[in-house]
Order: sequence, then C-alpha cells, then structure tokens
Amino acid sequence: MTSKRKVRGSLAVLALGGLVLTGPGGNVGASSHREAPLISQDPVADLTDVYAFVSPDRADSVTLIMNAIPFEDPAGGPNFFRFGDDVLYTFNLDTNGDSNRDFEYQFRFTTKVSNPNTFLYNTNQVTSLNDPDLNVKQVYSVTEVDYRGGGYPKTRTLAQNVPVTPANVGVRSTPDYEKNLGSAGVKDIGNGIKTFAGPRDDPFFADLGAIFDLGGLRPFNPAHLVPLPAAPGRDDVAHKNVHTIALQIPKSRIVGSDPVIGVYATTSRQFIKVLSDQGGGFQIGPWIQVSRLGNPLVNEVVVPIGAKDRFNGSSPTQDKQFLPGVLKPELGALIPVLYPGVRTPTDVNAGLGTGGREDLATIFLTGIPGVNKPQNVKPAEMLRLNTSTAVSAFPNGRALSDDVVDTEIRAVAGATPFTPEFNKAPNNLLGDGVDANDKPFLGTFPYVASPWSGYGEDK
Amino acid sequence: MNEAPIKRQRRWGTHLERLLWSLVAVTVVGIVVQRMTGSDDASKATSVPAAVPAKTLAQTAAELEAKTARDPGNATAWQQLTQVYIQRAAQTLDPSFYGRASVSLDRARSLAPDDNGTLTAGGALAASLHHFGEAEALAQRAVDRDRFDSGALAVLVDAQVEQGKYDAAEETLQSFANTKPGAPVLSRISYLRELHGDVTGARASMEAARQAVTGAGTFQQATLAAYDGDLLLLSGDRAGAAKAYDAALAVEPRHPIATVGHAKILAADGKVDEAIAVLSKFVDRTPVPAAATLLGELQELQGKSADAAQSFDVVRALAQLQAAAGVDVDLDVALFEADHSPPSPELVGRARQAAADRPTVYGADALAWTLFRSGDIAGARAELDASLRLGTIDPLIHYHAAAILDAAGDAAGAKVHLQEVVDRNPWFSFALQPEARALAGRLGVTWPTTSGVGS
Repeated sequence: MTSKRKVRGSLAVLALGGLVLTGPGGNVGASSHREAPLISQDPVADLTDVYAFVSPDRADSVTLIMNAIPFEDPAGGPNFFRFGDDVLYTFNLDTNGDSNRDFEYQFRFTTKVSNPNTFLYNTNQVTSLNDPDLNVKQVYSVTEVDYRGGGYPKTRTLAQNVPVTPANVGVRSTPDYEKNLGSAGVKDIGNGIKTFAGPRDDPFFADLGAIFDLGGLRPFNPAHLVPLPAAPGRDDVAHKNVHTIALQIPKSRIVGSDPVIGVYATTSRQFIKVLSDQGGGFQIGPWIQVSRLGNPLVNEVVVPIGAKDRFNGSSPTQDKQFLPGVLKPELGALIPVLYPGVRTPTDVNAGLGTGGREDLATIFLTGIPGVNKPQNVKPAEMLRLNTSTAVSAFPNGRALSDDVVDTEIRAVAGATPFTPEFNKAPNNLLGDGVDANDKPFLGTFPYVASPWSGYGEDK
Repeated sequence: MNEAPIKRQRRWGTHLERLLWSLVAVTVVGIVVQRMTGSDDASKATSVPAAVPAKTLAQTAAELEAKTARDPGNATAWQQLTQVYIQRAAQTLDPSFYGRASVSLDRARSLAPDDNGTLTAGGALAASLHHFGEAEALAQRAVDRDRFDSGALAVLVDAQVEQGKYDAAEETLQSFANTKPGAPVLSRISYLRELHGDVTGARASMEAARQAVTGAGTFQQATLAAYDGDLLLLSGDRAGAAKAYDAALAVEPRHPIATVGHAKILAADGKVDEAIAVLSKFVDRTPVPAAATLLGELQELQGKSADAAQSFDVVRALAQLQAAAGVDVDLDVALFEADHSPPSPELVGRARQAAADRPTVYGADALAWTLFRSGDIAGARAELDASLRLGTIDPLIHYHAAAILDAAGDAAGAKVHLQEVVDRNPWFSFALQPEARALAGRLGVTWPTTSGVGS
C-alpha cells in the first residue's frame, strides 16, 4: 500500500494505523502452527512528496527533494525511523521531454550498529555525526546514471559513506540538533553537487482530515452538501517528520537544449525468488519499482485509486494508459455534488484534440505552453520545471512553500486561465484553509526545516 | 500472605468475568455502531472529531464509522471499515468484530459488488473465518481483474497456503514478488520457506521483512519480531529467540505471540513459576488461546491439575466464542483436544473434517495425531505422507511422526524424527514433554537434561 497524498488521507488511515493481520484469531491450541501474516504496508519505500525548484540562493543550480516514510511521530523510539538498506531511492530526470529518463540519481543506504547488544539508539549525548555514543548510524552512496545518447548508460559513483543525520531524539540526547547534526549532514560531493539525507519536518501542509471527509474544506463548510459552520483549516501534517533526500545539482550538468526538465522519484526493491532450489539462500536479482511519484495528489487527479498498484510499478513512457482518468477526473464531477452551486468544466479545449479536460492533461501530463512545456513533449506524468525561470511555483516545478492543495482543487474546478468563465469566485477561492507549513523553511540547502524533537521541547 | 489462596480461588471467576465483560462491551459498541451507520442525521457529525492521521486501529474504526454514517453511499469507506474490523479482530482477538465486518461488507456489496476493493475485503473476511475456498475464489476474481492488485494478491496467497495448494501459492507469491516486493511479500515468503523446511531462508526473509517495517506501526514491528523469535526457536537458537521476543515486547509490551514466546523461553530455562506468573497475568486481561493453552500445560507439568483444567476450560470457551462468531476452528480444536481430552469418535470426525477442509501439512498432522490418540495407528501412519510432504521443520510434526512410527513398530524411522526434535527444540511442547522423554529413553535418543522443565 502506498501513501501518496491520497492514500494518506483515506486508505492510508488503514496503512498508518499500524496494521497487521497476524492470521485469524482462531489459533486455539496449536501454538507452533501459525498462519501467514497479512501485512499491507511498506512505509520505508513509501514516497510522500517530490519537489523540484531552482535553488533560491544558488540560481545556477536545481534542488531536488524526495520525502519518504509518511507521518513519522517524532517520539519514535526505541526503533527510530530510518531509510531502508534494501531500498533503492532514485530521482529520475527527463531532460528532453520524450518521457524516457536521461539521468538517474540513485541513493543506497547502509545501517551500522555499534553495539548490537543494546536496544538503545544512543548511549549518551550525541553532538556530532561520528559521535561514538550514536549506536545506530546510517551512511549512503550517491550514484549517477547517464542514459543520454541511447547507448550503454554511464554510471558514476558520486559519493560513498556519506552520513545520514540521526533522529532528533530530544534535548538530552541531541542538544543543539540543527547546529551539531542537522546542518552537518549537508555534504559537498564535488562538481558543485550537494547532498543531504535524514529526518526533517514534513514540509507538506494540508487539512487532510476535512478533505477526506467528503471533500470538506473547512472555510467553505456552509456551502457543503452537509453544511457545518465555517472554520479555519487544520494542518494534519503539523509536528510530523519525514525522511528527506535532497540533491543540489548545477543546471549545466543536467539541462540540455530544452530548459524544461521532468522530475519524478521512484523506490525499488530487489527481485526475490520465493523458494530457492538449494534452500537457505536469499536469492535476489534486479530492482523492481514499488513506488513512483511526480505531481502531488496524483491519486486524486491523475490516477484513480484503484489503479495505484499499476501506477506505482509503471514507467512514464506507458502513461497513455492513465490519460482517460485525467480527461474525466472523478474529483471534477464530485465538486458540484459536494458544493451545490459550484460548477466545474467537463470539456476544455487546450489543443490536444482528445476532448474532456484537456486543461488538466496539459497541467499534469505535458506542461503548460510558454511556462513548462518541453518543445518535443510526449505526455507523461512528472513534475516539469522550467530551469530558466528564476522563481518558479507549482505546477512549474514545486517549491516547498507551494500550496499545492489549493492550486490543484482550483485547477480541477477550472479556476485557471484555460477557462476564464470558471476562473472566478467561488472556484478561484476554493481551498483547505491551510496555507503554509507549521515551521519556517531554511534559506539554504536542504531548505527543509529541522526535524521535530522526540522529547517535544520544540512544540 | 493470606492473599495468595484467595487470588487463586478467584482466578476462574476472573477469566469468566473478563470474557463476559468483553462480550457485553462489544455488544454495546455494536449497537452504537449500528445506530450510527443506520443514521443519516448529519448533525451528529459535529460531535465527531476530524479525521487526523490515525494512531490506533480503534481511532481509524471510529473515523470510518462516522464517515459511513454521514456518507452511507461510499462503497470505499465500507470496504475500508470491513478491513479495519478484520484487523481489530486479529489484534484484540475479539471475534465479535467479524460480525461487524460482515455487516460492513454487506453494505459494500450492495453498493459495488464487483469492485476489487469489495472482492478483496470479502476474501479477507472469509480467510479470517477460515473459509479459505471462498477467500481464494473472491481474491482470484480480483486478481483476474487487476493482476497488480497487491491487496488481492495477498489474500490469494494466504488462501492457497491454508488449503495446502503450495505450488499454486508459490506461483502467486512469485508474481506478487515480481510486481510489488516489500514486507507483505517478504513475510509470506518466510512462511512458505518455513513450511518447505528452509529455516535459514525463512529467517533471511523475515529479517528483511522486519527491516522493511521499521517505519510501520509498533504492532506490526512486534509481530514480525515475534515470528522471527519463533523461527529462531525452530532453528535451535534459544538466546536469539529470547532477544527477538524482548524486541517485540519493548515496542508492544502486551503482544500475544511475543508474550507466549517469552513464557516458553522462561519455562525452557527452568523458570516455570515465572512463566506461569507471566501467563496468568496476561490471560486474565487478554484471553488468548495460545497463552491459555501454554499456561495450562505448564500448570499440569507442575502438578496443579485443577488450575490446568481451568486454563483448558478457558481455551474451550474461547473456541466456542470463535465458533459462535462464524470462525471454523475444527483444526485447532482437533489438535488441542487430542492432547487434552479422552479420544472419542466425535473428535476423530472433527479432525477428519478439518483435514478435508484444509488439506495442509497441519491438517494432516492434526488428523494423524487424533487417530494415534484414538488407537488407529495404521490410519495415523497413512497421514504421515501428507504431514511430512514438504519437509516442514516443526518439532511438533516430527514428534508426532516419531510417536506414530514407534507405535507402528518402525523404531528406526521413529528415531530419525525424534532426533530432529532434539536437534531443533526439545521444549517444543510442555504437555508432551514427559512422554517425549519416555520415548527418547525407549529409542535410545539422548534427551537434554542440563536445563529445562521436568529435569
């Protein structure tokens, strides 16, 4: 089960409740007989959000961010969250619009436990990344795979043994967290490339509770089919952490003749043979993609929830299969039902010749002409960033502070320049009432705010 | 000092009271839910807190109950509520949740009968009630519609395994692994390898599954750690098993499988009184069949027959509760009663039914052992081909084989299986400990005496 934002709110209540079906409770006497566990989640490989923007303090570079492991409770001890050693985390870049990846930036993690005889995450105060009192350490490697030119891909290891920043355990264990540990995780790995990996404040903000309760938008409560008094939105991702992977790359390294780059992140796990002939082995093989993410709220607008498993294993080159869902989005039909009086468009001609919501297909699959559409684009779902734009905002890439929920709800309601007759009140005012993150972002790489402390002194 | 006897006297009462109270509480909640879900009065919505990222299953259930009450036409919500009730039943071991799951499923079916979510929820509920044929059929329909549907694939694998269709299960699991490897796949691979006697491979896969759920709920982490403990026990590593159970209890102090495992280690280390204390306390609050069974067996071993009889009565009461909730408990009851009741044609009939419904290695083992206890040695021996067909390394199965072969006059064959028990885990069953020791003496197999029960 994946936790793209859709799933976070609806199905993911399932995923996040800590579910396991240990087999039916009918195991009366046969204590050695157990049934197969029905486990339905894989948070370690679960991507929550992807960001791509021109670095505000380094205009000649692009910053890519992916977040994994949804809804981390800062007080996560004794088994603090960490990246999966058996998961491949990848930024995929399409630099010419043909929907094939031209670059991969791969991240692999290794956990090192100093003293396996203790449960303790740390045995005393941790004041540096190589502090011996930090019992559980993770390091990672960064690998670039260059597919340009169509020949055999060129693979370069850009960095190895880069330390992951540890959990912000609390004021006693990790005093001065950001100074001692957080900022120390930023590593310059040469060629003008910077990297960071570790727990951070979840930069996403949204009133998921209301949205997934019959599409509720608290500020618009009185207009809802089931009216309630208007109320300010509540940020359900406040005080939650995620695991962030951030990479800053000079534009000159990745941008070709077209200034627009397509970005999506994937996670993969290795092939496993169920039963091995010899026994005893853990036979493994090639990587199998288990999660894919580009645009936020992809399951609302682009891919119906029922196709999420198919989407997660798919490549953007096959995205034609998801086009009908974008042209006739479920949410678009729901808004007029949930908010009687609000009308939404059903057919918008944006020059694609498909009929249906060509405006949404443009925003999510091709990029907007004159903004972020590659010259030779093959429709595919990914974040598209025009790297020549000084300050970009979603859907031209995605910056941390972008209110993507409001932007997307309004887009589905037709409140964009594509449909001037719908680009007016109330359509262009729709929103969840949560307009900013609960923590200020940093002015420098990795920009994402310091993680919340397990002790809770920062709340 | 005076308190001890009084407490002991009250224990049976305490168990019954707990059961009764849990039944009453469940009934009341059930009525409330029915009223909520049957109502379309939106004003009630104001008293329901907004759905926030769920921390507990109970919260998730409450949110979905509120949601379905306000939006009774939402098939997805009914499907989710069905799944959550099934999970609640598994986590609380309170079978009355199956009744509520069934009500929710009916709503989902009336709204979206052919939807994959409805088919999968139906399959999951059928599997939980041990109706594995029905579970397989529903899950297969969902997989035929979408071969990437991970929820349906999971139910399909489980249903095939529990019907003894091991080749089909391997094939389904491999295609699941090829599209969505992760904790759900890894934990199932572990179980299939274990059934096939590959304990090392099973452990490797369980380790990987444990790693994959570091960010998951603590109950899930604890469950996989406890399974790992069981596997370590199976591979003869008692210290490793103890560590795995401790890891499970560190994050989920009342985890049933880990508590039972922890008690087994205590007893195997000779700390039987401590194990009994741990289990009594646990069973008083959480009546779990496996815990009550182990408790009774340890009490019996200590010569406390009256206490043991009470514990076994708890097991029977729980089985009745499960059966009343629609769970098919034939297989478990057969295996339990073979060692705790005098043989009877009724028990043999029940075991035959279980083995016919679930032709697994465990179905065959339960029938073999029931036949052995009823004196039908030839019939018992005939079932061994089926119970040993995968080469499953489970000391219980091997002890049963040893005793049956011994009774059939095949001392050499019996010795091989008993040696397997000694090499793996001679503390596999505390009920069978005295007779296993006696059989070892008869066959000339050295039974460990350095520590443990009854030495």
